[in-house]
Amino acid sequence: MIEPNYSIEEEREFLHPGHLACQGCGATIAIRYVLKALGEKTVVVIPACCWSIIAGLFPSSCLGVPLIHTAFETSAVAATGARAALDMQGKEDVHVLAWAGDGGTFDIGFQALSGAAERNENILYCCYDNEAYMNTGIQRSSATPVGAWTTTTPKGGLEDRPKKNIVRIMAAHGIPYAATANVAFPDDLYRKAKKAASIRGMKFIHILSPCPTGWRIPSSESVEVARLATLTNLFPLYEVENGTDLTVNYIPPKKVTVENYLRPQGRFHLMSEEEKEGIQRQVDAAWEALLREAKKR
Amino acid sequence: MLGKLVQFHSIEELPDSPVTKGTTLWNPTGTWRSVRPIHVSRLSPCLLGCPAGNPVETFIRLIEEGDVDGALSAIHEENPFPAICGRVCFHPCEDRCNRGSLDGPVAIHLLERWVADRGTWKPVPPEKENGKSVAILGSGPAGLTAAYHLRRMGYAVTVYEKDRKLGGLLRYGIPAYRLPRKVLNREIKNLRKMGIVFKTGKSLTEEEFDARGFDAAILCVGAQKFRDPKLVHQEGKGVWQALEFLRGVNENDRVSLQGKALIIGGGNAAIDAARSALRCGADVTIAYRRTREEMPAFGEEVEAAMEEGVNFVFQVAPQSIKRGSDGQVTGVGFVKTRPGKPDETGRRKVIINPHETFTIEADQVILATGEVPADLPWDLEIRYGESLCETDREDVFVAGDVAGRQRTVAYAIGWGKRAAIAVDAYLQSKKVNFNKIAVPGGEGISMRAYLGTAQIPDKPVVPYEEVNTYYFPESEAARGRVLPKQKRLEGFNEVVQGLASPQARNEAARCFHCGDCVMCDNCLIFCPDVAISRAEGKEGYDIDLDHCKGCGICARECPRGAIIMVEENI
Repeated sequence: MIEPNYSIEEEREFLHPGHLACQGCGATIAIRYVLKALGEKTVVVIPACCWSIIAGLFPSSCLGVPLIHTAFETSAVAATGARAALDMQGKEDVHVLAWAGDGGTFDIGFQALSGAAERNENILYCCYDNEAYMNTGIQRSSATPVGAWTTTTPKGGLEDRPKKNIVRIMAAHGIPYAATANVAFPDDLYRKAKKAASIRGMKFIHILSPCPTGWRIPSSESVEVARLATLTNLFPLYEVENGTDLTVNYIPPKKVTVENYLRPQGRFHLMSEEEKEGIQRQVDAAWEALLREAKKR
Repeated sequence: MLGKLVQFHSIEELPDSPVTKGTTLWNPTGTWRSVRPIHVSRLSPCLLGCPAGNPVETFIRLIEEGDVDGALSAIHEENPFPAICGRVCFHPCEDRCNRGSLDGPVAIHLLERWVADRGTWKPVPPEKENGKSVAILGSGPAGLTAAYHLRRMGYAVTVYEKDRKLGGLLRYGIPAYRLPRKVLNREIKNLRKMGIVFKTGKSLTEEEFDARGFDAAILCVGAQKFRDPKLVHQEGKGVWQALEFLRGVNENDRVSLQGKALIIGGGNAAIDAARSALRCGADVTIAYRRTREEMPAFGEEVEAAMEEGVNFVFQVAPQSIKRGSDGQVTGVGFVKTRPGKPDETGRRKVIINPHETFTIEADQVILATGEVPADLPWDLEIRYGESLCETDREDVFVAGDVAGRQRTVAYAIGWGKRAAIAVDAYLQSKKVNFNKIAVPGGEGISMRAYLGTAQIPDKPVVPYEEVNTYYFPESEAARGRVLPKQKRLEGFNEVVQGLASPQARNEAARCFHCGDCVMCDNCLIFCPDVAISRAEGKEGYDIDLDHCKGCGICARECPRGAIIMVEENI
């Protein structure tokens, strides 16, 4: 028998077709595997983000589990509330998933998120990161990487500040579990969501979710480009337990330069060769540092 | 499949708080689509490369699934001689293999050989005789293949072989260190068990053919006619023709050769003669008119000959045989050559420099200057028609080297199959479109397509660029172990050894399965619209076209190009 490339034992689907995501949306693949891991006993909290639209119009929802829409800055605190209400009813086996974009996590919802982390609330917070406010028209966020074009980046149209390292920030809160994941690695994403579900306290997963519209790529290439982010070490897959214990989950079999990741994407077309080389140096240094830190354990 | 849309018809029906009442399944997002994905079966490059029409990708998949006997049967649908082909064929399939662009082609010939050596296939007579009889002249690979396929279709087949033993070029041309006789005998014995009648030491005249009531004949008499270089003092002892020499060696196991043997020529017969002469005890040199790169002999064979200690002299043209006063050969007189302008075939002409002459000492000279097709034994002419097998007489066909063109075992096997189809079509008054049963853009022809038991994929071949190499970590191609040089020169033991079973399984796993869905689930895993599911009750996938938005991720993420996107008619 020829073995499948991925082994995800949960066959049920909690994401239904007919949703309103654009063609090739990475954020739908992301929630598909997180919900498979959490199962039907899950409440999802969604602030303003792409997913407010994707989920569908009242009274329809594309999710096979309960879903609360909430305001932009409140996903972590609304999830906290849902958790408390469930606990009061003795439903401690129900998972609460806060599901927010990068704008609602890195920028607008950060205060609530930091607070929930500090209180070590028993929730799983997932940020599906498409690296800008894509739903409202590709406005820059603090998750937008250096060199990317957005509709609101001054200075020749390119982002010049580095992407916030959200996982390290969250890990610095000393929460039990913080991890990165990528829709192009669904088995790793599924495993991490399963692991998070087994841990009591605050869990955070940062999921790279390509946006064909905002990244200026054909919809068919979205998984491939996302995969290149990890193959080039630009978006490494790792997890940090209890704030300090770092494990790198995937080491690419051979070196692939970041050029391979940047070239296919229209949003990076304005970058100069020099800037690209600068990014390569940063990526190499960050990767080395990550491996050193993982070894220290 | 669309779901039901929840609608409220009055204020009373509205819930107290805005709460979900249904799914989005009612929403036909399929209408957003301008292209749709289709799972297809596409041509794999290896299939295009095989002149014998072997179902390469299919048999490798069966190996991977652990069905060695099934793999062997699959080959037998097209080719009766996997054990022979796996050893002597120079695998043009591997030259085409997409994996060659990554880390080396899949060792298809070694897998074919492994399947043939490890699997079991039971030769049986056909279930029903169809009452017609066919005579085949010549028991080389073309004749035997034609006999095999006709017998499977129910014909009474008689093979006439003028030599004492069966096999033609396989027995008398190819040395045993490449094709052990017990392997050859084993595959020929299979044909006997199917009820094919063999008459050895016998030929058949046209009159006898008419008198004995055969319904058709196929002439497969090969290409053994010597292309004579007509050197000065060529006549006399000490000078051999290559095929004559090889026949001598192959009939008697070995001939004793002393001193220096000089082989003239650069084709496969030259290499076979050189490596055989080495094993008979001679000190061997090959002299060729052109450069090494221009040698028609297969590269691996040339390398093996060099390894074993054959000397090569390039860019020299023979002029005369030098003989001593007793008539014994003492050497060959040569002139030097240089390459000229390319001729109409693109091959550079050889320009002789008559002033630069020299002699290479030799005690024996073997002329491997090429062969041309034998004369047809009957008073007939070849008339290439649609099957490439026709003659003046509508009930007489030709196949194999006698019909010219490319002359290798695999081509002969393909040609034998063509002839079998041509005979069947003639005798059953069937109209055959040879273009329909040939591999598009390839060399082979498919018996399964002719019999209607399988279809040749009609979708274009998968180029390397469409293979998603992320799913294929680099690994080295398997190689057959070779005997140490000393062991090789002791006799005619097989030089290249077959694969061990774990090696073969690993090698099969290297196959990309270009253009053939192996149910890896990638399309299903990465569909953002959850619109792909495993088909119920059969192999393959269902695509929910009510909801598929046509993003194309499935086609892109398919590791092997088995999904294509086609435009919707809007």
